[in-house]
Amino acid sequence: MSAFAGILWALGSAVAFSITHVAVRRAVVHLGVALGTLLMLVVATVTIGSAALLIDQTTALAAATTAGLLYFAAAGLIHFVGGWSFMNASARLIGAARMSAATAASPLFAAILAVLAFNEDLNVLIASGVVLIAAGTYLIATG
Amino acid sequence: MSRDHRLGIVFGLLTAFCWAISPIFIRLGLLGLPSSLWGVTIGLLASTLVYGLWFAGPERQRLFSRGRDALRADQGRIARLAIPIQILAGVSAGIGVLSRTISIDLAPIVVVVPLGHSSALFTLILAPLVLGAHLERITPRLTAGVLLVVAGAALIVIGQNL
Repeated sequence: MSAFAGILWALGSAVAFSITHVAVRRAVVHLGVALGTLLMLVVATVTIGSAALLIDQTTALAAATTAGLLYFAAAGLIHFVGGWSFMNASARLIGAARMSAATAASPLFAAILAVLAFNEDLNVLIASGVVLIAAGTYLIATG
Repeated sequence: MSRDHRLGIVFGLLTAFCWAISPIFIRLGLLGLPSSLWGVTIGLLASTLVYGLWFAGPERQRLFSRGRDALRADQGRIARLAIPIQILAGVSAGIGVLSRTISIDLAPIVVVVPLGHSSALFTLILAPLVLGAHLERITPRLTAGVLLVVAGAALIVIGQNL
């Protein structure tokens, strides 16, 4: 039962991100990438911060190590400052559908990093996935 | 293929690259702060601070002013709605992160992560409905491309979790 609930939550996250992509496409054309990204950052911080306070409360935060906080800060800078800025710029130029498809290629880069940087094994499924994403990205770029 | 189209694809792939790197730091962060939600909040706070400081510079204030002036100059209905729509984008992104965090706690990663990547399929359906076919041209090549990328992402996630 909990696995089924997990599947529903996963699908819910996909729908929520899809709404984000469509909304960004509509708004960033008028706001610009910089202002649009800043607005998203502020709103998302309030949204997720509120959820963190309600669900996880403050115990874990109070016991956090400096290293943990710094690593999460670095992750945020890469994911949000880098990722959301590029996402907004992409949506402005090629629309929500093409942007959403291009950004879905992140497992491709994760797989390449895992193999090259962390010496993880490359199996048939991963190799097939890399080929499919590369082919799909080509079709998106030329479609 | 126009220059804007090529640039847009490159920006999309750069987004994917950033989103592939951040989990490395997230895994390290969880060792010191075992709460994904607080971890993401810290990341967002750091990002907002950096972005805000970046905007404080005189050159960047020009960008901020340009966005604000463009909104004032453009009196169309959609332009006036741009700020509420972008707020919706931020709330929706927050809900997406929250939903994904909860799903990972409840079901195997090999199932939930590929499902999460299916957002491209939902966007393929939602975008032309909401934005109009004139803004979102859905072609057979684009549809095939999206299906291949989503399938490929699923295969990679499954292959990494065998």
